Amino acid sequence: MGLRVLIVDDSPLMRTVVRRVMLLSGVEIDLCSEASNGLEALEWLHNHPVDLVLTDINMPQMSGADLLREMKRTGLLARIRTLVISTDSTDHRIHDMIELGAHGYVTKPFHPEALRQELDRVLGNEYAG
Amino acid sequence: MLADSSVITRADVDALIVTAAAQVLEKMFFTGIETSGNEGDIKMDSPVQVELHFDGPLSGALRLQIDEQVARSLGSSLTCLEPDEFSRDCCVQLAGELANMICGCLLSHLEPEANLALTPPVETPEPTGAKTGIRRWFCLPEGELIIHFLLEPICDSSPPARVSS
Repeated sequence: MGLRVLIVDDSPLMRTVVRRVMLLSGVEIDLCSEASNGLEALEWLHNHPVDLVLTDINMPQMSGADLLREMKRTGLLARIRTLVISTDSTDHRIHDMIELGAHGYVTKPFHPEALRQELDRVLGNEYAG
Repeated sequence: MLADSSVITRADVDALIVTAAAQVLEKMFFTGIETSGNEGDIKMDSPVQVELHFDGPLSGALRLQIDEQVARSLGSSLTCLEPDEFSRDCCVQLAGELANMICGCLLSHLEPEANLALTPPVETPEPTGAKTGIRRWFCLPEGELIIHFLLEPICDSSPPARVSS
């Protein structure tokens, strides 16, 4: 059975880019959904099974950090892997997001291979292509 | 990264603009800079301009100008959409993402651990030819790109002065 993925970013272009990289990564994917902010993402997560969330940080209505906080508070974080994709490359930001429960972090700009490597690390061998 | 991060000169920032642009273009767009410069006029048939601001230990703005056709070319290779599927709205989004990534990369070199807040990039009217800040044009295989970077404060190259302790 393949992955059920949710891509969260306020930029439709970046969601397309991440979706393309995911599909080319070789990881087996059953479903790839999208949300434009943390609030939309939470609504989807509460109503649909998801295995992996890839999220930006700075988004309107609800940020990636607040999304992680809510996922932790509602128990979603215990069963959903999360990977942050952001232009913020500072150590303190990366540390903050990992402390909030993110399983991985990729800085923009990124080589598609870098995203693939982080996916492999976050997912382990379960969904390897 | 600057050798002495407490002294930022105009020449330092100009060099970092080139470094940041090259990194972003190579990693995300699989393209490179053929030539670049500060002087001269670049005419664009259908320019798209976006601007974002940043605040924190460093404050300022970055404006990026790119021709629609160049944005379409970069964007279609990035997304695998056909060029005619890449609307003007997509071109504006691409310009915004490019500005966001170049600014983030540039600021990470200037102040690696600073807590900086970047505003979302927004489309703006064409530039009025402002004389402040650093303006650099880039010639890519796909066409031209202009970045206008304003940092408060910024020193002339001689003599350099402390910007922050």
